[in-house]
Amino acid sequence: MVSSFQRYIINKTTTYIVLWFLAAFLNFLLPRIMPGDPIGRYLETLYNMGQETTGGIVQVVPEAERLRQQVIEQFGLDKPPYTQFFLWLINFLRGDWGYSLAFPNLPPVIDLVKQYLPPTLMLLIPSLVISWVVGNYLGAYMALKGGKVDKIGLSSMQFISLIPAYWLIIVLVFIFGVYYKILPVSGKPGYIIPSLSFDYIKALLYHWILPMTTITIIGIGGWSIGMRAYVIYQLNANYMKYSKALGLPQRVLGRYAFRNAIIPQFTAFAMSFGGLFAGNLLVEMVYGYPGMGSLLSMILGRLDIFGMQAIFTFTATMILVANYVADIMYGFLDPRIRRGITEVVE
Amino acid sequence: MRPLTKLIGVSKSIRQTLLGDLFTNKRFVIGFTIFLFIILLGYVGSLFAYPDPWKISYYTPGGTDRCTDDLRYLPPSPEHLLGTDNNCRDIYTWLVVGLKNTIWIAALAGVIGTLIATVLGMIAGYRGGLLDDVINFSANFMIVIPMFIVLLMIVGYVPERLRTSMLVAVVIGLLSWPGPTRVVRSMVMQNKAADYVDMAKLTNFTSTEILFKEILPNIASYIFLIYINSFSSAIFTEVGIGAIGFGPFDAVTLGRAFNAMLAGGAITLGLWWWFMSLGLVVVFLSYSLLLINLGLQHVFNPRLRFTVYAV
Amino acid sequence: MARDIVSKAQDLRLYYILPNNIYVKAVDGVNIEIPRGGFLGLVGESGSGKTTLAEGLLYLIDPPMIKIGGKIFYIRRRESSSTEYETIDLETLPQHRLDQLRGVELSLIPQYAMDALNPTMKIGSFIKDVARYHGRDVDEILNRALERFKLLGLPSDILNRYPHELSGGMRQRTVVGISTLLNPKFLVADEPVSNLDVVQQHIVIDFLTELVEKKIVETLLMVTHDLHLILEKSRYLLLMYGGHIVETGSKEEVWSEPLHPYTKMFLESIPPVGSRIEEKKIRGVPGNPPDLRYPPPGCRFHPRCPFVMDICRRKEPPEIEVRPGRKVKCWLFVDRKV
Repeated sequence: MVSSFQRYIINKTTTYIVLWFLAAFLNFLLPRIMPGDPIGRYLETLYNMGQETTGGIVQVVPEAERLRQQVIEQFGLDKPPYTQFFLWLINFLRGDWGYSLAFPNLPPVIDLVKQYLPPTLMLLIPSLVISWVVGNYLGAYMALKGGKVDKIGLSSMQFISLIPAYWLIIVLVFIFGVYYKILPVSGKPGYIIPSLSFDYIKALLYHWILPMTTITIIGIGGWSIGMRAYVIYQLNANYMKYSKALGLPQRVLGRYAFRNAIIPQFTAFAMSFGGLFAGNLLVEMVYGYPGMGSLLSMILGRLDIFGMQAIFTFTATMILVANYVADIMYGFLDPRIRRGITEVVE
Repeated sequence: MRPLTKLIGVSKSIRQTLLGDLFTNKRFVIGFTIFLFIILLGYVGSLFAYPDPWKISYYTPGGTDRCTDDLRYLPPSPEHLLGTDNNCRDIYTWLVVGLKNTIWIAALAGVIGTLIATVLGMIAGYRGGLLDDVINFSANFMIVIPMFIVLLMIVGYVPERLRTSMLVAVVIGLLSWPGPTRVVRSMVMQNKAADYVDMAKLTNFTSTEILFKEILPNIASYIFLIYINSFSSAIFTEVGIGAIGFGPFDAVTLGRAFNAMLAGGAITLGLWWWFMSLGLVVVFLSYSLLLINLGLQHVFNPRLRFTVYAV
Repeated sequence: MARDIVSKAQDLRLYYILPNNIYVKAVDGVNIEIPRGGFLGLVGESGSGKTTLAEGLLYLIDPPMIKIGGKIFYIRRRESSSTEYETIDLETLPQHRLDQLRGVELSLIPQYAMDALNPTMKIGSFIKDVARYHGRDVDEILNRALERFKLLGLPSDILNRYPHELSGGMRQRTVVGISTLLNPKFLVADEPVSNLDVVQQHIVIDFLTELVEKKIVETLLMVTHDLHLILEKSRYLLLMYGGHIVETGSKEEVWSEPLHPYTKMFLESIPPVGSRIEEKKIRGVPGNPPDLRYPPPGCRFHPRCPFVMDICRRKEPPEIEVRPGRKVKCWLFVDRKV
């Protein structure tokens, strides 16, 4: 006999696996139907030794054509589509993510990701956690206090949540970087080679403060608005009226509301991962922070199909995993799902 | 049970009271005013701008086409309301022209997205069955992967000369349907269960007639709200991808202006009027749309008019 | 005398505010004294305002309900002495005092009982909170709860269950148990058995009756539209119509000599138990209850009243106190004392 919770997990797992295949397929398909000639572009950059050309077709030089054929064969682009997809999937799962066409030396994509992902995670995870926690408490406080506090708080949070992160960071850079000169103006930690050395980490942190602050502030705005709405909804529920009728004090009522309101916030937490990631990319690109955003800005526009394929699939995977974890966690937290609707025994 | 009323007669009186309510709603009025102001800034303001954002400042003594150091980075002045950028171009012109273009791109994207969402939502909600499952599943899938990343993928692959404003508008529109579709779908499903639909079925209306003549008018106001939402997020998106350089290549948009500002070293040179003007325009545009949205919600949804604020 | 009365409403007006500033005048000028002790009934049709009045007596006034005017009193024994009573204007109490009284002296079995339990709390946890925040020994209260729940026919593992693991009827009975757990002096039960099957109804009514008989609960005010039940069990009735109390009196008085036309028609609408259909004409009360947003002028009942006079249509009748505890709000009784 399978419990309802187990059924819930199986259901979710299968859904997410299917979604993942879809995402992988989409990421595989998209570059191949887009206009443009990636190989030609790459060869062009080689030919011009690093000089950029803007979206042209490589002049067909006889040697180049032979070179092109070689490259195509080497990367298996001449095989039929299904085979390509299959091979690529297997390779992806094995960790072989191909070679990036954005750089003349064809670095393995996975190495690039290994280098640029940690700083992004360093930005993403703490800011998400802090803004979620602070935002929830702030939102609950606004909802429970009511009155002027609530009105002013809500308007402020609404305004804050609308500020584009990539603009706020510019403002902060101006204030703290140019005017007060205490924080760096660009995200790149100088010419220090990325490594796990203490120096590098220190430099990274120094450049980490501004983007971290920006994203956290805007995040707090968003989370507080959501939590406030959930808490208000709880405050109007029948069980709340009853608890009050039994004389439970305000702080207990607040506790009940908070506990019940935060359940959907967990799901929201994981679902926000995707949007937050996108926002982070923008901030990184604008500030020059050495994370996935910078990597993407180097790759985009150079028709690096392997790089983009792998990175976007990886991003999609991360997002799907986050959502999956959220769904499972939600099922665990809500006793109605965890325990299931059991047979009612008189 | 609500009879099949002549909708025109009913709607008019509803419309009358609605408009009255709308303009007494504080949020709506403030939001609408700000929004109107910004729109005017874009269109009327353009009249005061230089005709061609690309040309070098017109106020060169003797009129030259070369950008010289004494024309660069000029602070705000009567001839250049927001000064000039690193290419001696007038910043104010870029702002208002960009505003205009971004607005129509977002408007178009919003229309496309809302249209698709309405159609798909109505089909999914009313027909149900396999079609509904497919649409629902696709919507849920697309919601999980953020639109922005997919957008980056697409514009990343498209070479510059093909990146027109039209393309950007269409792509944004095409990518924004999942969220609204789910909303429309649930609204249609709620309406479907309502009494007046059964009445209609009894009197031999066809399905499409029911959809369009009965359900649609009921949800029309909410579809408008959805449009405003889409419009607002499209603005955000356009500015976002434009700022990193992947916006439309054929016109000046707010996103492009942002990009120019970043590339032009506004921050390091302390030209605060440059980035503050751009940023504030975007922020107030979004905020005014939010206020309009909240105000409209308040008026359209009588239940919502009545949120309790404290224990 | 003060000790004979447990709760009092003076010119109480409780309205609901709707969008567009429309008021629903659910309780519109009510003056009553709830006698102390025993099983009492507050009777009326749906939409008469009885739930609002019941909640009002316990000072459970939350938006969208507001108190437009009037006072609400609760009369209780002073802590130390057992013979002195104090009258408390509930509006003047600080919130923490009110909270202390609730559950212990003033309690409610709500109309929404099936929905009244916190979905993410086990029953036992909730009871622990109730006990703890009223300064009672948690174990003692839990044991008492188990005993009482057994009387109510609930399963033995109920303390470990979540609300969704119980049927609707079980949830309702659970709420009955919890509301009476701290042995409140004044218990208001709002339609406590309306959603239960016959067997469960008996269980709950027997349970409540026993609590009253053993004086564990001193006064029980049952709000209902079920006349049979009320006539069987209660000793004193209050009849409500259109936001007004139209008649009060002991059960015998009201049954044998109903004064208000509404009461008369209401009582006549009950088929006597055991009668055959052809024998007794069942009339019911023709017409519809008033829309409390726009109540009719004058006497609220005048559109349906067979004895309507011209003055009834124009002016609201005063409350006539025929005898202590026996009131009627009708023009027929002005200038005439029964």
